[in-house]
Amino acid sequence: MKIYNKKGLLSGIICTLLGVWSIFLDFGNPNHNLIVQIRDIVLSIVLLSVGITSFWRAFSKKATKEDFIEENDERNKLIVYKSKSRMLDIVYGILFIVMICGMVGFKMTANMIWFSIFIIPGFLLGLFVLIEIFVKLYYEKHE
Amino acid sequence: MKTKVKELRTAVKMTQQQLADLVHVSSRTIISIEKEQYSPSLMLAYRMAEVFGVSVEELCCLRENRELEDKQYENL
Repeated sequence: MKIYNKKGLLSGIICTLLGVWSIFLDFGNPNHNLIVQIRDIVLSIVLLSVGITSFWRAFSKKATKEDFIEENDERNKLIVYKSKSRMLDIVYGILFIVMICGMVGFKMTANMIWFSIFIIPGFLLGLFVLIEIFVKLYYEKHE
Repeated sequence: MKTKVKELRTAVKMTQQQLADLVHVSSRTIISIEKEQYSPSLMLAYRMAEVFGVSVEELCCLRENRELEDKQYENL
């Protein structure tokens, strides 16, 4: 049997092993909470099925071609870029709102909890803006 | 962007999946191009033009699209 997708095979093996290990843990040392127990079993089954599917697809020429097309499809790539960009815009907005709330809360109550609510998003916003500037500079030079 | 993909594809009785397989993209990409929601890259347009035996200019209605774009700039 020829391996067409080594990356897929590796992820398949890892997912299958994790799934098997998880199932052993679920049955060997079950959680007392029934809901958590059901969640763990469902997650293990999902992990195991993903692993087996990836493992099987790594040996199929047709499936590997399908995976390659899906991975390199120009519209798929554009969707990934656009969704990540929109996600970052939303994160910026949320952090800004939380930062303003923290600032107003601290001004009104002088409570240090509000100060931390103001400082942490502010720090993250500053960090993200800096990273964005560096990434932009990189792509301005290399694209 | 307006294209003649649907018109040319139906004329040769080809399915979206068949065209997608020939030009190495997903069928969803072909659907989006036909719905004028997605503009194909130059290479994809060239591949599709080769499949239908037409020029990229004809397939992508470049003259018509340029005129539309020019109008938008004039209206600015």
